Amino acid sequence: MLEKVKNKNLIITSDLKNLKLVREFVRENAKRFGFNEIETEKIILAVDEVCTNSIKHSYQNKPNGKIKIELKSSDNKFIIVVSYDGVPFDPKKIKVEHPIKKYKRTGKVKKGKLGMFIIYQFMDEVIYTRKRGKNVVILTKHLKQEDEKNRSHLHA
Amino acid sequence: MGKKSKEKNFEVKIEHRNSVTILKMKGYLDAYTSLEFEEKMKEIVESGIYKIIVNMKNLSYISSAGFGVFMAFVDEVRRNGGDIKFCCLSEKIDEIFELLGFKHIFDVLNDENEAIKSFEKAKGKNVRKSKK
Repeated sequence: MLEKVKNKNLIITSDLKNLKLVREFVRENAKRFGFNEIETEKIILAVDEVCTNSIKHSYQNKPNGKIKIELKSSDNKFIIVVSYDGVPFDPKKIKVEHPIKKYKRTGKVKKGKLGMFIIYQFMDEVIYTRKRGKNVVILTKHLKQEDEKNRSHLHA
Repeated sequence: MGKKSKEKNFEVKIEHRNSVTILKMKGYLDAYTSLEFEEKMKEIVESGIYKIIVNMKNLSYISSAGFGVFMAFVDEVRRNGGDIKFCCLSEKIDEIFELLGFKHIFDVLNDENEAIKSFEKAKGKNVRKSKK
């Protein structure tokens, strides 16, 4: 039923200009997998935030690093693997808080860590790990039944 | 071959209507384009403009860096009797506002006129308050 995503890769250099290429790559494949517009947008945002963090923090805005974005699928799971070098990143050190909670707690609008909140809020599974000296982030989104119905309807 | 929905670059047009300034956004606001936009916002706020409406009708995408620009300035404009209000959100961006809880932090209106009126109402409230 589902179109399998067979190891599609995109490699970009660590330049914020290239985020646009990442979004186009993810958008095309997430839609083809069967996600509706809103779910596709959530996936794009999460991947964009991971890549932005890697450029800003791991590569410290130096544009000569590499970021690999790999797309895979397993049953109804759409999996994005982002790997990059640079400074290791430990998400446990970051306190992710809902923007409203933060606003109510501090009485101020604070922008910090919003990207991390988006990543965890919009994906079903998020794993940060290190493999062969690289930072590896594995993002998974499940295609829900209603999306699958839309998909089979489209392909009927 | 299906049509590829390529994103348009970022652009912002600034319009002044009475005491309110409208920012008409176009294209995408990500970590790259928000660098330029942040400079523009800084100029606006430093010039003493505090009543700001952000028209997102033609904005195709916004990431945390884009939201971050508004979050960086909103406390300052509110301290000066103004606000940053949003209008004309696409269905996609409206959903993102909802999911991130931004409708509890920012005013989101259907169109520009409604947003302008809400500034006028706020002004009325302030007048009443100051008479007491």
